[in-house]
Amino acid sequence: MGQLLGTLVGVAVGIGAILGAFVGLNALIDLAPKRFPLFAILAGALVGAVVGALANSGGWFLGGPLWPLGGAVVGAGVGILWGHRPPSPERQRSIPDRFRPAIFLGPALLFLFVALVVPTIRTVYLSFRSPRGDQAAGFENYRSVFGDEGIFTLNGLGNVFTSRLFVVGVAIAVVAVVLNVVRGRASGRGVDLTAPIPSMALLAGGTLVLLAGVGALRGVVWTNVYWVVFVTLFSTTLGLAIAWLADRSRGESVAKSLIFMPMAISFVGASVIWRFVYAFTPAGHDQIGLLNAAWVGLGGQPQAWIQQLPWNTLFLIAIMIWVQTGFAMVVLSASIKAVPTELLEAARVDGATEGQTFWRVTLPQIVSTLGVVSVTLIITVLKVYDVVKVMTNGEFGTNVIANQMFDEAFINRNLGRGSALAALLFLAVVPLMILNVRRMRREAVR
Amino acid sequence: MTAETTTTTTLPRSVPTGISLGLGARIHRRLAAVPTAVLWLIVGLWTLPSLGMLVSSFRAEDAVKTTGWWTVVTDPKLTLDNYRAVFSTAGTDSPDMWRHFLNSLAIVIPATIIPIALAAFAAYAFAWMDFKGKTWLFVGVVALMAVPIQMSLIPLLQLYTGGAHLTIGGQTLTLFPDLNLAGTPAAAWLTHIGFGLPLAIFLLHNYISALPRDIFEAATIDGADHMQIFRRLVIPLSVPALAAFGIFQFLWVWNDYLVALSFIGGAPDKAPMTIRLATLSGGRGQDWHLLTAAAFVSIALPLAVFFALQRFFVRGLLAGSVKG
Repeated sequence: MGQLLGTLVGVAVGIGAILGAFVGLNALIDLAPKRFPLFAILAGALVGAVVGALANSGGWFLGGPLWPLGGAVVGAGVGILWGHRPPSPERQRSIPDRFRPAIFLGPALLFLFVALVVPTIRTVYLSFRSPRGDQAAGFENYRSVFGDEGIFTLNGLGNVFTSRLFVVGVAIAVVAVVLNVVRGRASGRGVDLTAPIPSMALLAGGTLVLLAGVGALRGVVWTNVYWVVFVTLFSTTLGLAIAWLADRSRGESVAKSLIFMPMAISFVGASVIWRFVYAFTPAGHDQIGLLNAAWVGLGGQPQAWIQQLPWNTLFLIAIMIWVQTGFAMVVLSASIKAVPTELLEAARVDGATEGQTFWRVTLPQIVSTLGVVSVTLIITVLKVYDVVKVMTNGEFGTNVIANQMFDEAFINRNLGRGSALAALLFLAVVPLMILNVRRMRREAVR
Repeated sequence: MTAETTTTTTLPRSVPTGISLGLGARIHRRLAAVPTAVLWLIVGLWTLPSLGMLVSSFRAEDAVKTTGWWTVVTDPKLTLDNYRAVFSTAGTDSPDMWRHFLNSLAIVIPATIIPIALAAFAAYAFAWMDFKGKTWLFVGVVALMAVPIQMSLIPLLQLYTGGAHLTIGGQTLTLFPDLNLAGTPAAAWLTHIGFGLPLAIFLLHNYISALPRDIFEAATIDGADHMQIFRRLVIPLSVPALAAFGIFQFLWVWNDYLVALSFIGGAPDKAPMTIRLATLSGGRGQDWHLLTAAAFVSIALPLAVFFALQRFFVRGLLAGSVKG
């Protein structure tokens, strides 16, 4: 309790200091056109104090007040000289306008610089250095990461193509395409793979092919890929389906709240909740986990779901889908409601069914939102960490890049390899970053 | 006939419930109930895991460990013992959740309030001031939203434990002194301020730049300067956006595990609730009576905030991802 009170006092003092500095600096530049000599002295003293604090041994005020104070005095002296030879009145008047943006932006940019910009550059730099960061290492870290069978491997790629899941998946996709082409020719409407049935068949085929990958191709990098693809695919599709259902159901807002609720739960909390769902007790005992109880009820043998390769990763992924579907649903629901009613009315007057209206009118209208939701999900899921850490600690073949990075950097103390893994995540995000920026600029133009 | 046209064009709830409906209309009404049924089935499935946790947290230890939580339907015996146990401070290995609750607060309060202030200044400058390179600077800030936290962990830990120095011509400048921050709440909330700012600036800029130009012009004609406009107009008008970001940041920081683990992981007595819960889950993984209660204690506050202020939260979410 005492510590919390201390924090509260500290926060109040900190906020007060920030606001005080902000108001003070604004007042200072407003002084320039009115009383330039005074402004020159104060500005000089301020700059001098900052330089003095930086040059202070030990840093800032830790090495005693001599340097900052000395700097302030010297700066004030320079300020006096400057005040004797003031710039033209026009330039004096322009000072507030020129420096105001810096005062408004400065604090935020400083934090961004220290917490994000410089560290990003430094991590890239460290990824080309030795484990302790003291020697150059070229591409050695990247080579060792990709040479590590546990992290990246192509062993098993052949088994993917021969697995039943792959064959069935490809067969479904091919049949869907062929049927569509044949029927399109026959009816003279041409080929249209975006119609509901072929596109769903393609989706199902693609999912089976991915499952074939999960079954045969392992390693940290591939597991991370499965996370991204499955969570993005299923959260978006489920979110869209629920949003559409909710739009025409009773109790819409309550239902949406309940689906959305996991967003407020920490990944750690969600993992504990789901570990309980997946809990396993040997056959013959009462099952306390929901999934095993249901499974045994259907006549199966109790399973240790999160320990059995290769499908255990899917049970971890389900947790993320449980959390993120609410996000997709909320955003897509707003987007569905924003579709102009006249369009929907027109489609219905023309005799379109509910399904056709959704597929041919609503869906094209919300396609850009679907893109935004997918990009946001990909960025979130790429760096998945908490769920894997709490559920399995990366064991049983469930490890992901972020967890591997944490272990390398903070447990094995290999900063080089840790940084290389982080840089890998960053590299994956860069295209999405560009996409986001371009979308934003496009919207800004409108 | 009128009934039929109504059912095809509006929501099911507006279907007249008169007895004189034709067969077609009655079938239609049945069909209109299908989405509701499917939706609530999904909602049920979605809520079941959390419900299981909540129910189990009120069941006695041996009941939780030997029978399924759904048996409360036939054998409703509830107790508060588990909650007493997770708040207990007796023994070296006690969960002591109250301490960790306060630790979480000590991180979340500064990490939520400070970025709101900083981002409001910056968003106003981006929206209503003219300066060189404004567009590119803003694009840069937005781009930072996607940078994975993992990129910052190692350098920030080095910064907090060794400071940052720059040597020019024999003179060492201390850009950041060695404040020995690792293992203190400050290391976590300073980091969260930096990570939260891109989204904060983006959300607030969206909102502040959409305020009508007229009010700014009127204020300028009345002789108000930037500071007065910012304080008297922009801040009061932006309260919904400030609240939206505040909730976002609160949930994000409260639920964070990675940042806390990286910077406070070595000081278990300063750890926030997420770390404590994860440790319990790892060390006492079969003590479901404790785990469920501890999990509920750790998610109670964010859930309360979420349900109370959901409107603002959704608004922030939409502003961040859907074009206005």
